[in-house]
Amino acid sequence: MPSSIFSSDRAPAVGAGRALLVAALVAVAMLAAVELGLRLKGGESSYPLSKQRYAANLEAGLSSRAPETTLLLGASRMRSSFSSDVFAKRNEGAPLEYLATSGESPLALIFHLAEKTDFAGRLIVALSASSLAAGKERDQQYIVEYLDGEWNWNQRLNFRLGDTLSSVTVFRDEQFSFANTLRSLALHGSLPDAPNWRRHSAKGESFYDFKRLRDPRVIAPPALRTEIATAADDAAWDRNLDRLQKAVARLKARGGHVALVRFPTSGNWRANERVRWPRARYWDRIARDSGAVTLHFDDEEILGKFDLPDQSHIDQRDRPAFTSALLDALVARGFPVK
Amino acid sequence: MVFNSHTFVIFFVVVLALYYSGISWRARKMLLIAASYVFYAAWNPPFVLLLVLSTVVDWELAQRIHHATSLRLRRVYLAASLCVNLGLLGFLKYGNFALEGLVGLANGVGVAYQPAALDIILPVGISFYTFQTLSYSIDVYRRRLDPWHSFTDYALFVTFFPQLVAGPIVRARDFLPQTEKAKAASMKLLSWGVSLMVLGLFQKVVLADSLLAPVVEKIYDSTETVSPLAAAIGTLAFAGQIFCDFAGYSTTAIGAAMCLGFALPDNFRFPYAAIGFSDFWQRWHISLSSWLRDYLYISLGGNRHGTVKTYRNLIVTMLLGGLWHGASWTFVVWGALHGLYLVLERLACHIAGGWRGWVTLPGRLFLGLLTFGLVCLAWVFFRAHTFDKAFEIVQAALFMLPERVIYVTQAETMVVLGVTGALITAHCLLRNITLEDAAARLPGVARGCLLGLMLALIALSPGEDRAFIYFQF
Repeated sequence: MPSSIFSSDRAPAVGAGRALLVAALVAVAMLAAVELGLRLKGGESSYPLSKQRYAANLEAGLSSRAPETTLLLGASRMRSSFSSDVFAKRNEGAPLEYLATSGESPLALIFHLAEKTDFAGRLIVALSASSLAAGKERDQQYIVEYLDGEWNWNQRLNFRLGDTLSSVTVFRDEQFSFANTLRSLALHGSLPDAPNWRRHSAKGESFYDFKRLRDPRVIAPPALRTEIATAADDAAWDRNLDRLQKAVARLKARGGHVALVRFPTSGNWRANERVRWPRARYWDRIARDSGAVTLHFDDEEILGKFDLPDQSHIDQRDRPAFTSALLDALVARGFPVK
Repeated sequence: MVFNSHTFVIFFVVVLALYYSGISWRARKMLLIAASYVFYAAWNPPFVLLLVLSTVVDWELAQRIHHATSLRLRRVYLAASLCVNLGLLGFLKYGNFALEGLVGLANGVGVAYQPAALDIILPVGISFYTFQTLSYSIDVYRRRLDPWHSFTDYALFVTFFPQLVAGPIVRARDFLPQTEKAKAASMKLLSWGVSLMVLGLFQKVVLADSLLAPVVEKIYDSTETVSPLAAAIGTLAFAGQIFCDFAGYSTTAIGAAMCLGFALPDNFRFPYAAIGFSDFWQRWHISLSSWLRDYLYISLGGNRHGTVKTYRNLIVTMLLGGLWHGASWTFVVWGALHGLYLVLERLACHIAGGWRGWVTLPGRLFLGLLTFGLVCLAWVFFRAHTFDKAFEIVQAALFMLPERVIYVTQAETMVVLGVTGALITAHCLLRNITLEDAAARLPGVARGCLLGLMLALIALSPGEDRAFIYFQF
C-alpha cells in the first residue's frame, strides 16, 4: 500500500517536462500519419450520426416557420436514398432537415411533431408495415427525450466543436476508429479499408458506396425465412395505425402535409416481408386509413428498378436519379413539392 | 459538463490560463468557485441552486453546532443538517422508488392505491456533494474539526469542479487546509496532473466506451436470451467497463486538481488484484468505503459489540452502500451480496484463516480468482436493469437456459478478453506498488511516448459522448 493517500505526494519528478513534450510530439505525429495515410487512400471526412445531430435538426425544423420546410423521417434508407442537392435544386433551397435516424420506426417523431408541437410543414416519411408493430412507437423517442432534457448550451457548443473537428479530419470517422481497427484486425487480420465506404454529411445524409465495401457480411443477402410467418400483435398494430391517422389529421388540420413512402427492397428481403407483412393486410390499410399521401415502390415501376446491393439500400451513385423519381411520384400524388 | 467533451477541454484551458494569470489567491479561489458553478450549470442551470443551498445550510449549521452551549442543542443542529441533506437526497433520488414501494405494499394488502408518478429529475452528483457536506457537519459535531473561518474556502470545498459530480468524496480536513496558502502546480505536478488526465480519459474513452461498452450493451440491454459465452463475456466486459469508467473519472479528477495545485485522495488502488473482500473495499471507491466506515459502520457500533452485531453492521453498511448507488432493488442486492461476502470472509478467516496454504502463490491465486469471480457475480445485479435480466444472465452463464438468441462474435470475445486480461494483469503487477512508482521507473521519454500513444488513441476513438456511469449516482 502507498505511504500517502495523495498521488501528488508521490508524483515522479524526473523528466516531467520532457515527458509532456514527447507526449505532444508523439500524439501529433501519430495522428498526422494516420490522417495522411487515409487521405492518400482517398478517405473523406464524415460526420458522426448522433442524438445531438438529430436534436439540432429537429430544433431547426421546428424553429423554421416557412410552410415549405420539409422534414425527412425514417432511417438509413431515407438517409441514403434522398439527395438534398436534387431537392434543393427543384425546390429553390426550401428548408430541408434529415431526421431519419437509426431505428426501425419514425412513429415517435411523427407523434411528437403532431401532438407536442405546432409544426405545419411537410413530412416525407420512410415507413414500412413493421414500423407500426408493438413497441415501435418508442423507437426514436430518445431524440425527443434528449431534446427536452439535455440539449442545452453546453451540448450545442460541444456539438459544434465536434462538427468542426469532423469537417477537417478523416481520422474522426468511426470506420477508422481504434475500436473498428481492432475489430478489423480480429476479423480479417488487416486494417480497415480506405476510402470510407459510408460517409455522412453535416446534415446527416448518408452515402453508401457499396463498391468500396469489403466486409461480405454487410452486403450478404438475408436468408429466406419461412418461419417468420407468425401472427403479428395486430391489436397493437391497429392502435398505432389509429394514432398515426390522428397525428396525420392534426398535422393536416394546421396546414401540414404528410407523405408515407415504402422504399424499395429486393430479393429475400422483399420475399420475407411479403410473408411476414402481407401488403393487402397491412400496407394497403395504411394507404387507405392514414389520411396521408402514400407511395409504395411496387406502384411506381421506376422506383423498383434501382440496384440494391444489399437488397435494402441503393448505391450512392443512384441517389440523384432515385430522388428525382421519388419527387415526381409524390408530385403526381398531389404532395406539394417540386 | 463531462471530462470527455470538447467543451471541457476549452473550459479547462481557459480556467488554467486565468488561474495562472497572476491574479491574487483570493481572486483565484473565486475564479474556481465561479468555474465550478459553470461546470455544474452545463448540465442543468436551475440545479445550481441546490449546490448553493447545500453549501449555505451546512456552513451555517456547522457554526451553530460548534458554538452551541449544550449537547442537546448540538444534536438538534446536527439533526437539522442530516434532515436537510438526507431529506433532499431522499426526495430527489429515492422519491419515486419509495412511492413505488408504497404502492406495491398497498396493493399487496388489497388497497387499490395508484398515485400519479413523481416527475423528479435526479441532480447530477448530489450523492457526492451531499456526503461531503455531511462529513463536514459530522466532523464538527464530533469535534474532530473546527468550523472553517472562510466561507469562500468552504464554498470551494463543496463545489470544486474536478470532484464535484463523481468524486472522489473529499473530507473537509483534507481539502480546507489546502485553501490557506496560494497554490501553484510545479512542473512536476503539472506534468503528472496532465499525465493522470490523459490516463483517466484513455480508460474512459478508449477502454470503457469504445471497446467494452458496446459488448455490455449488446448483452445486458437485449430483450432476447443470451448464450453462456455471451453472459460470461458480457459480465467480464462490464467488470472492465465499470472500473475504466469510474477509475477513469477519478484519475482525471485527481489530475485536473493537481494541475491547479490541489491534492485529492486516491480512489482506486488496483482493485481487481484484491485478495478477499476487505482488501477489495480498501482498493475500490476508497473515498466512499472509508466514508461509510467512518460515518455509518462506526456509528452503528463497528466491531465493538461482539461478532453478531459486527456482522449486522457490515450487512447494514453495505446494504445502504448499495442503495447509495441508485434507487433500485438490484443495487440493494449488489450491496447485500458484498455485505454477505464480508461476513463470510470473516467467518472463513475465523475457521480456516490460520492455514499456511493461503499465503502460498497457489493459495493467493485461488483467493484472488475467487474474489474476482464473486465481484463479477455481484456486478451482474449492479448492471442488470431488472432481476429477471440478472437471473437470466446468471442462468445463461451456468448453461441453464435452453434458448439462446444473442451470441458474441469472435472479435468481441477477443477484444473483451484482451482488454480485461491486460487490466487484471496490470492490477496484479502493480498490486503492491503505486502508479507513481511504476512511472518513476520509466525514463521521461518512454513515459512521454506512452502518454502520446494514449492521447492519439483518445483522438482516434470518436463516438457518441457517453456520460460517466457514476454521474447517475
